[in-house]
Amino acid sequence: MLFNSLDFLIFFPIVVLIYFLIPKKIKYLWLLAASYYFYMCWNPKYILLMLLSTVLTWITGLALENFREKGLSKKWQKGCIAACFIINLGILALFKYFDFFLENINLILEKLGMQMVEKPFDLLLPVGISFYTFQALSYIVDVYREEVKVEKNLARYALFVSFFPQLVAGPIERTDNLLRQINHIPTMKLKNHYERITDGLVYMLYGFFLKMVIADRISLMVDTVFDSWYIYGTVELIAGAVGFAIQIYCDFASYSIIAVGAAQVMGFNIMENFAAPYFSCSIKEFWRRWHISLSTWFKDYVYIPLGGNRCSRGRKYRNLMITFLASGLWHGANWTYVVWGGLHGLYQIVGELLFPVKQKFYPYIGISIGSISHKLGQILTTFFLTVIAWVFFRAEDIGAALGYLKNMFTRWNPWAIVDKSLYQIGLSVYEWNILLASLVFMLLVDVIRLVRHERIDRFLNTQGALAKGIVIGGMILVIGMFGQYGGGFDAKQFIYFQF
Amino acid sequence: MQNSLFISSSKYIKRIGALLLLVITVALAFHQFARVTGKYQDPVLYDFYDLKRNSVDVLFVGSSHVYCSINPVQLFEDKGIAGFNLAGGSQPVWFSYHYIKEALKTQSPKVIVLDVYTVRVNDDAYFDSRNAQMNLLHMKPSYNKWQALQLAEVDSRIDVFFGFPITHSRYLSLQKVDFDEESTMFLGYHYQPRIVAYEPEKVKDVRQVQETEAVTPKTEEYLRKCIELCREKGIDLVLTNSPWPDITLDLQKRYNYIQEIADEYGIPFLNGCLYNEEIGMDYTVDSMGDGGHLNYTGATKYTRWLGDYLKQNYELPDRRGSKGYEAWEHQSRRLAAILRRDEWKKLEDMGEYLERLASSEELYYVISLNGDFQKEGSSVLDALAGRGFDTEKNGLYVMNAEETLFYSEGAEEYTWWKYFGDSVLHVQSREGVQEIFWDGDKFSKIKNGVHIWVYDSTLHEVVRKLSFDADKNYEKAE
Repeated sequence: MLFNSLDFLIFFPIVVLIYFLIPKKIKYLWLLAASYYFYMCWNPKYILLMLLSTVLTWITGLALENFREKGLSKKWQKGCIAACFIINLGILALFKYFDFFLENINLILEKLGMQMVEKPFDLLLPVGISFYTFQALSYIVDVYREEVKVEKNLARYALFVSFFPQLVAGPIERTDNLLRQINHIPTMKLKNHYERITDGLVYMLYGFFLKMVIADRISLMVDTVFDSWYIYGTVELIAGAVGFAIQIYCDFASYSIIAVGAAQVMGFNIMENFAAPYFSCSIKEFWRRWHISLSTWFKDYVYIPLGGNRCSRGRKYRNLMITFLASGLWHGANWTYVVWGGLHGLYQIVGELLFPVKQKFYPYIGISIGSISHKLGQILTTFFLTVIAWVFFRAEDIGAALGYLKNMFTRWNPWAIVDKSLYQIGLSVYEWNILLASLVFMLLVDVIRLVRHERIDRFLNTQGALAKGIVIGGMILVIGMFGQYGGGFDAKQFIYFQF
Repeated sequence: MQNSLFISSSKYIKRIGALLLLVITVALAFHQFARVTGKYQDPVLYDFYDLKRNSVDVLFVGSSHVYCSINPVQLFEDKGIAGFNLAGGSQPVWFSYHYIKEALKTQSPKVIVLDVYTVRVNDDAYFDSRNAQMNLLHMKPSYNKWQALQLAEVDSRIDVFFGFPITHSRYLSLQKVDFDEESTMFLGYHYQPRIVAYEPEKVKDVRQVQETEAVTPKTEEYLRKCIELCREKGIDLVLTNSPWPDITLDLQKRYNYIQEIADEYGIPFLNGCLYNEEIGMDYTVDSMGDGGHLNYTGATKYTRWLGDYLKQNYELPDRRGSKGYEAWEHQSRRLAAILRRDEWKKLEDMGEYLERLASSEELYYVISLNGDFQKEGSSVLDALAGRGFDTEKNGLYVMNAEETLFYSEGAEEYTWWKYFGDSVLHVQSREGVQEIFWDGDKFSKIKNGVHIWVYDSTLHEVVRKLSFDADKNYEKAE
C-alpha cells in the first residue's frame, strides 16, 4: 500500500480510530495486525520473510540474555550474533544482491572465456527488506551492548520490526526509542490530543505535497532527460541532474515526513530523517542532515566498530570509505550506487585534506571565512558535489553516468535557456510554473526549519488562525488539483522502497 | 473550576468552528474544481442531477441507441411529455439497472423506457474497464455506485468511485467551455445532423426470424431485476430496441428471447427493427452511416412513433407551459437555435440569408466592407445593398435584427465593444484596417472584401464567420 493512494487514505483513519477506541492493553496487537496487513497489501507471501527475520532476531535476543545470565563467555554471545547476522544478511543478499553477484561473476567468466552461469531463479525484491533487516539487527547489537533490555513479548517485538508508518522506507528506528514507546503504550499519556493529532496531520499533509506535487511532477522531466541523456546539451542535463536532486529529496523526505506525522497521530515520536540537507556547508554536514537514521546507523554499527576516527588518519579514511561504500551498496545492487557512496567518502577525505590549505589560502583571494558569502559559497559547492554524485545514483550504469557528466560539461547550449527547449523535456510551461511555485514553498519551509528549527506544523501554530487556514487549505487544494495521482497516472512507487 | 472549564470548552468550540470553516471552504473549492475538470465525455448525469426533483415523467435508459434515437425535446414540443435520456455509451443492462436505481433517488417517473440493444453482446467481458469508466465516472459516489462498480473489471474501483482521481489531471486542458454550465446535450439527446446513407439492400428483414437465442445469464439476471424493480415501485416499464440498420438475422434471435421475457411479465417490448415501415425509416437519409445509430431525421421519425405509443397507452400529463419545466423550454429553444444554425448554413442566396438574420432578435451580426472591396459587381454586394447597407464605401455595421448597434463609415481609427455574458465582441479600425474580435480572437481573413460574422445569443456561440474575397472573385469562405 502506497502512502499516496486512496487505499491508505481509507486505511489510516480506520486504523487510528480503532486504535483510540480499543483498551490500552491490546492496542499494540491492533497495530501489529494493521502493520502486517499494510505489508501484505503489497505481497502476502513475503510477510513470511519478515516474520522469519523477526523470530530469528527475537530468539537471538533471548539467547544473548540467557548466555549472560548463565555466565557463559562472550564468545558464545558473539557466535550467536554472528549466526543471526549471517542468516539475516544472507536473506538480504539473496533477495537483493544475488542477481548483481551473478552478473559480475558472469562478467569475469566471460572475460576468462569460460561458460557463464545461468540464472537459476527470479526473485522479486521484498519491499522495505533493507529497512526492517537493519532495524532488527540493530536491536541485536543493542542487546549485546546491554544498551536495551531484551524484549520478551514476541508480538511487541514484531510490532517494533513492522510498525507500518516506517516499515517500508524508514526512518530506521532505534530500539531504545521505538521499542520503549511500544512497551509504554498501556501507560502512554495521550495529553494534548488535539495539538498532537492536528500537528501530525498537517505534517503528513506537507509530506503528501512534497511527494505528489513536486517529486512526481519533476520526475517527468528527470526521466525524460536521463532516458535519452545523449541527445541533450548542458542546459537540459543540468536541469535533469538538479531535478533529480530535488526529486529524490522530496520523494524520500516526504515518506519520512508522512511516517513521522502518522506515528505522531497515534502518539509515537519517531526520529526525523531530514533537516534541510541542501543547506549544508559541507558533505560531512550533508550526512548529518540527509537520511539521518541511516547515517547514524552506519556510524554506530559500522564506522565506530571499525575504529571510527580514534585511530590513525589512514585507518580513519579507510573506515570512512568502507562505511560509505557499504552505504552505497545498501541503496541498491548496482555499481552506480557503490560509486555514489564512494564519491561521498572521497569528498569527505579530500575535504578534510584540503581544510588547512583552504584556511591559509582563502584570505589571499578575498574570501572572508565564516561570512555569509562564504557560507553561501560552501552551500552551493556542497550542492554541486551532491548533484554530481546523484548522476551516478540515477544513471542506468557507470558508462551512462560518465557520458552524462561529460556532455553536461562539454555540450554547451546556452540558447536552450531561452528557446523553449526546457518545455520539451516532459514538462510544459504551465507544469514548470506549478513546479517552480511549489519549490518556492518548499524552500520557505526548509528555511524555517534551518533558521527557527521548527517543523511547518509547529511554525504554523505560532501564526494566526487565518494564515494557518490559508496554508493548510492551500496545500490540500494544490495536492487535490495539481497532485499527480489516480486514473491513467501510474502512482509512482516511492523511490526508497527498493532499497 | 467552572470558569476554566468554560474557557477550555469555548476554546474547543472556536477550534472546531475554525476547522469546520476550513473543511467547508476547501470542500466547496475542490468540488467546483472537480466538477469543471470532470466535465468531459458528455456527462449526462450532470444534467440529470441538475433537474428539478420529481419532474421527469418518462425516463429513457440504455445505450447510445437511446441518446441518438430518442429526442425528449421533440416529445415535449409535440406532446408535452417530460422525458429525459439517462443513457451511457455501450451501456450493459446491469449498469442500466443501477442507472434506474440512481434516477429513482430523485425522480419518480411514471414510465421507464429501457432500450435493450446491448443484449446482443455475447461476452460479458466485452464491457471492459473503459466502458465502466465511461458509464459510471460521473455518478455521484454512493452505495449504488459502489455496487455497480462491482459488476465490472475496473483498473481502480476507488478512482472511478470518486471520479476526480481520473479527471483532475485535466487541469491543463481546461477550456472556456468547461466552465460553461450549459450542457452539450438536449435532455440527454445527442444531436447528430450527419447523413451518411446506409445501402437499403444491406438492411435485413428480421421479421421472418422466429427462433430465439438466450442472452448471457448476467444480462438476463439484470433485465429481470430492472423489471422487478419497476414493478415494485409501481412504474410502467417499456422495453425497446431502437431501429438500427445492420441488425442480422442471428441477432434478432436475441431480441425474440427478450420478447419472451417481456411476455412472461406482461410488459411491452417495442422492437423498432420490426417496424421500419410503420416508423417510416429510410436508412439512406436517416442513418449516420455507422450501421448502428440514427441521425437527427431518423431520431425524429422514431421519436414521433414512440411518442404516439406512449401518449396512447399511458396517462402522461402535458407539461408545456407548466411551472417547473423551464429546463425543457430552455432546451427546446437551444435545439431550435441549433437547427436554425445548420439550416441557414445551407442557404445559397445571400439575400435570403440576410433577410433571415434581420428577422431574428436572438442573432447579432457584424458586416464589414474592407479595403478595395468594390473590384467588380457581385451578388453579395447586391444582397447587402438590397438590405440597405451602404456598399459605396468602406464601413462596419454591428446589427441586432433591424437595429444598428454600431456603424462606422470606414474611419481610420475607431473602437467599439459590447459584452455578451462573459464574452466580449470588439470591433476596431487601425490605420483604416477594420477588425472583428471575439474574446480576443481576431476574425479578419481578407484584406479586400466583405466579412459577415454572426453570434447567436441563445447558443451563446459564434455561429458563422463568412468572408468574400474581392481579390478572388468574391469567393465565399467559412
